[in-house]
Amino acid sequence: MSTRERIRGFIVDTFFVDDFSDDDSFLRKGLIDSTGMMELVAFLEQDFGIKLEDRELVPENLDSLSRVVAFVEKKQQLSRAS
Amino acid sequence: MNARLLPAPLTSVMARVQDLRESLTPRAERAVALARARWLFRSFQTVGQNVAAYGPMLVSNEGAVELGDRLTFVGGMMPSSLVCHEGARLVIGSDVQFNYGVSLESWVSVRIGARCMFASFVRIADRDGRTTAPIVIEDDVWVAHGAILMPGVRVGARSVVAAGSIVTHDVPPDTLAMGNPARNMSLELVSRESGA
Repeated sequence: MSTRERIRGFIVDTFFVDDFSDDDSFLRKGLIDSTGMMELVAFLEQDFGIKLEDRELVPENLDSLSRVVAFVEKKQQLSRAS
Repeated sequence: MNARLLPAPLTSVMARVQDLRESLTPRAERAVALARARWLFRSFQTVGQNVAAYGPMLVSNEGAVELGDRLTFVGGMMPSSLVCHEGARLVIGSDVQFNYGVSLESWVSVRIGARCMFASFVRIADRDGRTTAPIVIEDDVWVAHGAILMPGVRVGARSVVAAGSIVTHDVPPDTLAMGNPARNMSLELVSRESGA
């Protein structure tokens, strides 16, 4: 299963939403609230074995499915490189 | 006397009495709250204008306490407490609101900026048995129900501390701190209006 599918699966199962596109803003579409965002961060850290810094918890990294996927893939590349 | 005419005037009089009572009660409560605050905070070095305490409070000052203008201490199921130990400082800016059951304790220094809001059962103490370090809360900070701020933390301006969070590290400005230990995330990530 691809990174995109795993993350989408988590969001659909956890927040009971499935009608959203890859570029929809979680915030503006009301898909994920602040507690949900914390759950998403915990899921990313556990399932993908990455550590998110506090300063990385910004909309540019986490506010849509495509942004999350790009961010996770970048983090995985960085951890593999080091 | 016509019995059928009596109920109408009586109910209208009762309604007017009720209206009068409803319009006067808040003002009376306000006056009592202002007087109560004057009495409770009589040992403080500085107390601003229009400081109101709407319920019982536990107050102890052996250091230096400065309160700003227009503070509100809401009353409720538990008294709030303000404790300032010998040689310590406790400074609260103007327009700050405290719900009931808030516990503030200063052993060295606790500073709270202007326009902050503290929900019920928030605990802020600059000593926890292991460390003693000053706490700074900047302007426009909102701390939600049951959050605990540990010694040495600085909460940046306009930040929010989520309910039940344990804040062990500094919180930058415009940030949401959530969890135990609290993690910081940008408020832009979770609030529909930036900074709201």
